[in-house]
Amino acid sequence: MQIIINERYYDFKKGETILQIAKRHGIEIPTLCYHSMLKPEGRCRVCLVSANGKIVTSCDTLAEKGMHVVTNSKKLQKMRKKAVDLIASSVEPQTLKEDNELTRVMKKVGLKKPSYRHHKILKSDKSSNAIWRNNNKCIACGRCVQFCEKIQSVNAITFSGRGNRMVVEGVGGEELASTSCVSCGQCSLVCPTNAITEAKSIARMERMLRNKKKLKIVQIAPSVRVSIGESFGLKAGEIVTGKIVSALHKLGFDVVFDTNFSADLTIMEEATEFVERIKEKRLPLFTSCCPAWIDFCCEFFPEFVKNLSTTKSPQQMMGAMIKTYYAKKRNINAKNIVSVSIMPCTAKKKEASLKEMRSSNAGKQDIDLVLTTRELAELLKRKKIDLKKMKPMKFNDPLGESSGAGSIFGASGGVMEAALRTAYFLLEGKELKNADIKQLRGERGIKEFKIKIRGKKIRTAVAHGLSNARLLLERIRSGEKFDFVEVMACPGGCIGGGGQPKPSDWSVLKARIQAIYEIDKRKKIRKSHKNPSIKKVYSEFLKEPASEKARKLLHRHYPLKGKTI
Amino acid sequence: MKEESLLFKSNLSGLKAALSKNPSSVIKIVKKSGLRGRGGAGFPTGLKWELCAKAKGEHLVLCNADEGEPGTFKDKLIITKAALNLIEGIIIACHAIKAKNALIYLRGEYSYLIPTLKKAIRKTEPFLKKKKISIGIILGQGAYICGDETAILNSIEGKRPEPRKKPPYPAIHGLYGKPTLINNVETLAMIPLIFLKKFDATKRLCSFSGDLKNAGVFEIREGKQIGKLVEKAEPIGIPKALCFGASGGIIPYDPCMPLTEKNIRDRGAWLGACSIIVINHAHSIVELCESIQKFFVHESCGYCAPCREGNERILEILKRISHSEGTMHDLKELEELCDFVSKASFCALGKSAPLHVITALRHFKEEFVRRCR
Repeated sequence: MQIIINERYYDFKKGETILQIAKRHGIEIPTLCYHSMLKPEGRCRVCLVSANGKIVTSCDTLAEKGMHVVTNSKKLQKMRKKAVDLIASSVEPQTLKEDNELTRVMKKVGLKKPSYRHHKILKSDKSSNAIWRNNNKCIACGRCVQFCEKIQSVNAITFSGRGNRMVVEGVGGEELASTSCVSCGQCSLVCPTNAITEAKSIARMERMLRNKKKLKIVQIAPSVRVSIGESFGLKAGEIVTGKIVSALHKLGFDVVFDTNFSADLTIMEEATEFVERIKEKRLPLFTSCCPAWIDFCCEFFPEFVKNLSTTKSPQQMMGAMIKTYYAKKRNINAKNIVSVSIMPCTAKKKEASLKEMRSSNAGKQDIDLVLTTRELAELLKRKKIDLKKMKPMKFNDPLGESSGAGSIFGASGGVMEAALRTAYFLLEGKELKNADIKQLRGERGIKEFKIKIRGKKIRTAVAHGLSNARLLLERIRSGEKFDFVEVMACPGGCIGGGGQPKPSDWSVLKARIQAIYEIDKRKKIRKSHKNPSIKKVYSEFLKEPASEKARKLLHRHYPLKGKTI
Repeated sequence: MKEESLLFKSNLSGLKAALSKNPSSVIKIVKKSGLRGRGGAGFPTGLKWELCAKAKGEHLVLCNADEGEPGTFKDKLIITKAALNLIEGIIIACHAIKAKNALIYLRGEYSYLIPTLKKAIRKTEPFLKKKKISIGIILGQGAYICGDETAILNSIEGKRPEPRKKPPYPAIHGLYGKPTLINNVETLAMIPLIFLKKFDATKRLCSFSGDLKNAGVFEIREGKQIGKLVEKAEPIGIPKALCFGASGGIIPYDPCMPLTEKNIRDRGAWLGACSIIVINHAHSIVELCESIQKFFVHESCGYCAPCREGNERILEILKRISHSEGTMHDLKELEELCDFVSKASFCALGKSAPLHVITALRHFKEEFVRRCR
C-alpha cells in the first residue's frame, strides 16, 4: 500500500501511523507528547499534519491507502507554533531556560519566547526521597501517568482536576511518598520538561567534595559506563569505564571502586543462598538487586516476600564493605569516610536511606549519597570536566576488580546468567562449559530458561518492566513452578533505569545492552567465583559465603507486609 | 402551546408493533424513517443500528441522558412526560441489535427523575422478561464532557471522563470494548412512533430560552420562519441574536429566516441539540461571549493542550475586551486563537468551544471593535 506525503509516494504496512511512516523516511514532524514506548494519546497536538485536507495529529492517525498527507504547509507551521506557544506559556519561565524536549521543540517550530503570561503557581512534591515533582513545569503530556499505569502497572500517579486546573498528582491527591510508588523513576526518565526528577543531591555532593578532612570514596554501577557518554555527545552504548574513573578523580574523589566487584560478591552470596534453598525446598528464589522491584513485591505481592533473596544489592554490599573491610584495611575510622555511589536508578536513593543499611558501627548510612547518571553528567558539566577528553584510568584496589558476570548485572537477565554460572559450579562441582546463556538475553518481557544441574531441572524466569513482573507473579500465584526468578523494574534492566540519560527509547536501550555484553565478552574472568579479589575478601575478612559475618554485613530483612521503610 | 401536546404517547402499542417484526426488518424500518440522531451530531439512526448489529461481540444499548448543553431541556421533558416512550425505544433497540443489557446514563442533576424512569421500566416488565433484557440507570457526576459518547464510556468504566480517539467508534468498540449503541433520549423516544406511523422526520423538539416570557420546549417543523416561532414564545424586548446553546454559535436574529440546518450552517453556526437562546438588545454580545467562555474553561477536561490552555487564553482576551482594556491586536489574536482551538482540539467539545466567539466576530464585530482601543 502507498501513501502520499508531500507529493511523494511511500510504502507502508497496515496499522502504521502517519508519524511512523514519516519517521522511517526521515520526514521531520515535530512531536512533544509522543514517546515511542507508549501508545500515542494525541494530547499536545504539536504533530499536526493535513491528511486528505483534514487537520489531524500524525501520531495517532492510521495511514490509509492513497491518503494525501501534507506536513509542512505555512498554515500547519503556524498551527504547530501556536500549539507549542500555548504549552510553553503554561510552564514557569525557568523551564524555558533549560535544555529539555520542550525547548528543543520550541527551536524546531521557531518560537523564541511564549506569547502569554504564566500565572499558575502550584505545589511541588518533595515527599519521596527518590523522586521530586514540580507541577509548575508540567505540560500534562501524560507520559509519566501512562508509563506508571501501563508499563509499570504501579498506578502511583494520575491526572486530577480538569481543564486548566488539571495536574498530575499522587493517586487520591496523596503525596508521592504515601502512594504505591516504588521509586523506579521511569516517570522522570520520560518527562519532557524535567517536572519530575530524581531527588536531587548535587548541592550536597558539592559540599561533601569541598570537605578536605574526609576520605571520599565513590562506586560506579555496571550500567553507568555504557550510558553516560550520551550526555556528552557520544553515541548510545559507548563504553567509557576508564574515562569516568579519571573524571571522578578529577572531581575530587580519592578512591574509585567498581560496583561490578560487589555484583560478584552478590552472586557469591545469592548463588549460595539458592543452593541452600534447593536443599530446604524453599523455592522459588527471587533476586533482590532491584530496590524498586522489592518495593513492588512488598506492596502488591506480600505473600512472596519470603521468596526474596536476603542478599543486599551490590550498592549496599559495596557500602558495607567500604565502611568495614576497607576502613579496617586502611586503618581509618568509618566516620571519616564519605561513601558515594553513581547509579542508573532513583530507587537506589531510597534504598541507601533505609534504616537497616547501617552495617558499620559509625552509625551513619553505609552509602552517604547516591547520584544518578544524569546528576553525575550535570555535575561534571558544571565543573567543566569533559568526559570525552579524559585519559582512561583503572579502578582502585582492593574493591575494583570484577568478572564478566558482575558487569552483566546492568542488563535484564544478567543477574540470572551470572548467578547460574556460579550456582552451576557450586552444585555440579565443575564449570559451565559455555558461559553465555543467550536465552536470558534480549528485550522480550518475560524470558524463560531451563537448565539441568545434577540431573535436576532448574526452571528460571526473567522479567523486566513491572507489568511483566506482575504477569509472571500472577502465573506463579496460580500454580506455575519456577526455581529462580530475576526481576528488574525498568524496561531493559538497569541500562533503562530511571536515572539514566534522556532521551531513552528501545533503540538506545538496545545499544546499551549490546555494550554490556561486550564488556563481559572482553573479560578474561567471566565467573564471579573466579574473581581473585573476591577470593581475597573471603579469605581475609568474610571467611566464606553465608558465614556469620557475611550474614551480618551482606544480608538484610524484609518487613512481612507493606512497603520497606 | 402546551408542553403535553408535544409528545404522542405510545402506551406500549409501538413496542408491540416493533417486537412482532424480526430485528433486521426493524432496522430497515428505522433506516427508512429518516430519523437522525437528536443529540447534536445528526448521524442517521438506522445506519448506526445497522453498523452496531453487524459488529461482533456482546451488544449493549446505552441511552445518553446526560443533557448538559446550556439552554437544552427537551430530554428532561421527555423523561418527565413520556418516559415510557423512551423505555419502549430502548427495548426496540435491544431487540434490533440483539442486546440483553441496556443502560441509561442520566445527568446527575436529573436524579429526581429516577423514580419516573423506574416506573416506566416496571410497566414494560413482561416484555423485558420475555426478551431477557435488563435496563440499568447510571447517574452522571456533573461533567459537561460526558455528553460526548466516548467520554460517557470512560465515565461508566470508572475512568477519568475524557474522550476517546475515534475510530474505533463505540458502535463497534464501546463500553468495555463491546459494541455499544449510543442514542440520545429524544432519538430513542421517537422509535415507537415510527412503528405507529406517527413519526415525522421534519419535526423535532426545540428548547427555547433567553429573553422570553414563555420559555419552554416547542415542537417545531423544519423550515418554519424563526420569527413566528419566537413570537409564540413571547419575546421580552426586541430580539437581537440567537444563541444555539453554548457550543452552537451566535447569529443575528432575522425573523424571516426559515429555521433549517442549512440556513444556520451558512451563518457559521450549528443547530446541535436544537436549543435556541434568544438574546435581546439589552445584552452585549461581548459579555455574552465572556460568560459562555467561562463555561468552557470550567468544563474543558484538560486532555489536549489547545482546549485546556487555549480556552483559558481566549477568556483572558475576552475579559480584557469586555473591560474596554483590549486592543486591536488582541482582537486579531482572538481570531487566530479561536481558529486554532477549533481546528486542533482532540474532541468535539474543544472543536466547538470557540464557535460562539468565531460567529460573534463574524456577525457582531463592531461590538468588539467599539470596546477596543
